[in-house]
Amino acid sequence: MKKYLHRLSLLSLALSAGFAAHVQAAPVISRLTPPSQLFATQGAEAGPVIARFIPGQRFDLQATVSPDAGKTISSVQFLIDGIPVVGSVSYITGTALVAGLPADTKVASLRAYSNTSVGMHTLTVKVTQSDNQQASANGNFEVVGITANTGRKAKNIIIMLGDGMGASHRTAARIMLNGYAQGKAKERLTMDTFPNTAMIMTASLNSIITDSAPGMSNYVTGNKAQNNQEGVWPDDTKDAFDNPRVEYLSEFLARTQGKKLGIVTTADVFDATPAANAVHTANRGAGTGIVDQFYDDANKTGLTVLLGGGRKWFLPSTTPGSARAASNDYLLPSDVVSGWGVAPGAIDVSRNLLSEFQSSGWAYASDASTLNAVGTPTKLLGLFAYSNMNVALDKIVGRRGNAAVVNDFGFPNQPMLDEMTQKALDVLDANSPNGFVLMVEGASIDKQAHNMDSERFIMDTIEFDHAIKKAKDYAATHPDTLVLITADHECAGVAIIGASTKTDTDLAAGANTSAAKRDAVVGTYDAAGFPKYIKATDGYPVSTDPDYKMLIGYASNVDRYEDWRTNAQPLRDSQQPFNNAAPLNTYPTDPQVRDASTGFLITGQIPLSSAVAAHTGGDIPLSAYGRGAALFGGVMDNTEVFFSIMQAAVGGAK
Amino acid sequence: MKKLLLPISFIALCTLAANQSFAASVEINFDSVVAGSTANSAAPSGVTFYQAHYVNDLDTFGDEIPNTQKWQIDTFNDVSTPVTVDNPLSFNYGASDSGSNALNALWQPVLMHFDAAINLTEFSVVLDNSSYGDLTPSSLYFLDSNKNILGQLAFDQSVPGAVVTLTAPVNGVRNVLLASGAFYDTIQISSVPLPPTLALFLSGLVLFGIIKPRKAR
Repeated sequence: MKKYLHRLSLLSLALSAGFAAHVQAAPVISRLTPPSQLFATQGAEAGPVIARFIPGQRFDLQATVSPDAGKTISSVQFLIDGIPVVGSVSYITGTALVAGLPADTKVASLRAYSNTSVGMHTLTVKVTQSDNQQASANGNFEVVGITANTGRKAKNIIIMLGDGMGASHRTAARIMLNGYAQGKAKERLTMDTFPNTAMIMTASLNSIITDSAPGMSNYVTGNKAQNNQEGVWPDDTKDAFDNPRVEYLSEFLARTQGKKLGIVTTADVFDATPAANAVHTANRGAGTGIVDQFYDDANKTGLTVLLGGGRKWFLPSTTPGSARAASNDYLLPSDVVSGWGVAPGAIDVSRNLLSEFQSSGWAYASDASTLNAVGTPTKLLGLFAYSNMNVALDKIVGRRGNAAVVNDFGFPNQPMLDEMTQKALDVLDANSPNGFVLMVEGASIDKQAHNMDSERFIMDTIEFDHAIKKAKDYAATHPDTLVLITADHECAGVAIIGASTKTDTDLAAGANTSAAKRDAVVGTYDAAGFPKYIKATDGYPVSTDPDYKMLIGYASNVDRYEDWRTNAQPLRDSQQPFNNAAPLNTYPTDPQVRDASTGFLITGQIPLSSAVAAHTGGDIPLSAYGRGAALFGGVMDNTEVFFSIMQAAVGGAK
Repeated sequence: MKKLLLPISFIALCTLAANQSFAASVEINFDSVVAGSTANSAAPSGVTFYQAHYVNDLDTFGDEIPNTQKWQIDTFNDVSTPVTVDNPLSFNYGASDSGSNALNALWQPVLMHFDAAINLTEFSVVLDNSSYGDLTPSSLYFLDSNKNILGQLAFDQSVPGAVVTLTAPVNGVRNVLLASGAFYDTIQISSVPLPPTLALFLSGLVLFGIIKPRKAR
């Protein structure tokens, strides 16, 4: 009897569950954007507040909604604080959506919404399906107040972004450039002289380990982007360019103050950091669409200076060296075009973007000489390599007479980052009566740390510091300028582990064993002493292989061979269009083969499939100088940096 | 006594004369000087434009007194970069309302300071012809001699050519705070003398009158 009763109760439970499911059948809301903890936890947690905006900053509202089987979605309505949002809701359906969604799923969007009412807000989406069953879900966001008229505004904003530059990268550059004496740095780096410092939490929307796309985007939107995405939130569509957008710092200040934008990088200009100041895409690799959007929406971002590598995207696809491809071009849906007032784009691999830039009034510099001679045109494009520029070490070695590497890449006359920065400042200063936003990226601090090429990432950090000096000098004579030095994340888990106990001659002569190259070489604690490098008149060390040199370890490493000596060649760069042709195809492919005959094997801690070292999740230092610098301090989330910049730029600072 | 009273009455008359300039409608259009000039070179007598900031009062040691924030003259920046008049067209802010120039308050709030407190009967100002500006409502503040707020007018900087107009008289105004982020043009001011000034003037007249009969005798 007991058994019978038990079965009966189970049956009744199952029936009631089925009944409940039938009664409660309704559309499902699987995504609500902007992202919120309130929606993610189905109301259980209201914080932390994920999406935050300054008053008037634009962003898209979006929801992914699915009907019950056999039904269709008949309407989607967005409400803020219970009041329907004015504007038309557009839909993306069918094969345009990613696989795996229920039949007749719709992605509903309301583009370019903004709110000037300071405080917390509730975003509600109400969905009705064809049998009039309804569902709703709530999210939240905050409009962060700007304290108005506290003082003078920061008219110019300069963000010096050392890609992957953690605290140890900075210290290593200080040791190599200036040296220490009895425990004190003989000289400080320029970045050491900035008066205010904060520690920055760098996580992205979906990971404690960010990549450069959200790493930069988070600073200039105030919102968390997902890895590989910039200026957008994730969605459920296939198109990488239709994702829900959030307005950039550059776009907001161009729209409300008429500011100009300058982007300077030693990377390919399509790379994540430069693109994450002006381009909205869920695919940081979509180079053709990214560079097209730079140009097409220059009137929205104020883009006035664009300097770096990346010529391969600007050449028609039929030109040797071109990388333009339909698979990574962009064509926007009409709701994005009308909502944001941006160019629609086109799939146009034959486009000669270099020619279009020039015919619309942009001066063009192809190398250091033409950059130096270009003066201060109204708009300036400089593309100094097919893809990423050569790194500081190879450029300096080239300028000192050994141009083998830069010749192999085909660009023997590339400018240094400080020269590019000075030119950008000159052009922006001459053409920006309402101020500018300038982002300068020391890109290969990251790229060479990935490669665990210690001398190359340290030399790039020194090059970056020289560029910082240009920015600081400008701010010193233009006190309405705010200069920030920061990084998007740390790269490779760099640590200064000590110094060699050998002369360079002895180091070179040692066998490729751990006994000879590790146990007999690596000096820790007292044995490390103070490595001595000699600074040349060009501002870089005479040699990166002095006797008893500084040694670098990596915590986020893959397998590598290490002989501690400067590599004559950088690793191959897969971004280079002629990477697989001579002479670049003779360069070492990865750290698993480089120095195999001269170094000892260090077993990595991350999967070998990574090929190179990876980013790490530790906080990174930010330094501030100039108008509003006091707004930066303590431990800040990377998105909070945006609000401090905006306080200085919109509200003013003492 | 006669020698003492005569100068007093003269000062009172002069004070009145200064304030009398606002008794009728006065317009400041900044067009009498070239672009880039200091705003004060285009200001009428009795009006001075200063850069402003919102800071605490300082105690005798120079330390900030908590909760005393007011709009003050930004003495440091005002000396290094005084308020200027510029052609808004050069900044892509559209044509000025009055002709060529307008007061440039793009990057700092501006304190329009009167030599003596006045009773404002009319006040209006025209914004630049652009959609640039703060997206949240800005305010124009009327402040007394101690920088206390007597009244305010909210306006939207992003409305091209917006006219901000005082709707009711404000008495005892010594400063008008113009929010940063815009050009301001065609400032129209009407005022009547303040009672204390009037009293001083009247007392001067009375004294003058007292003296006169003595003289007659």
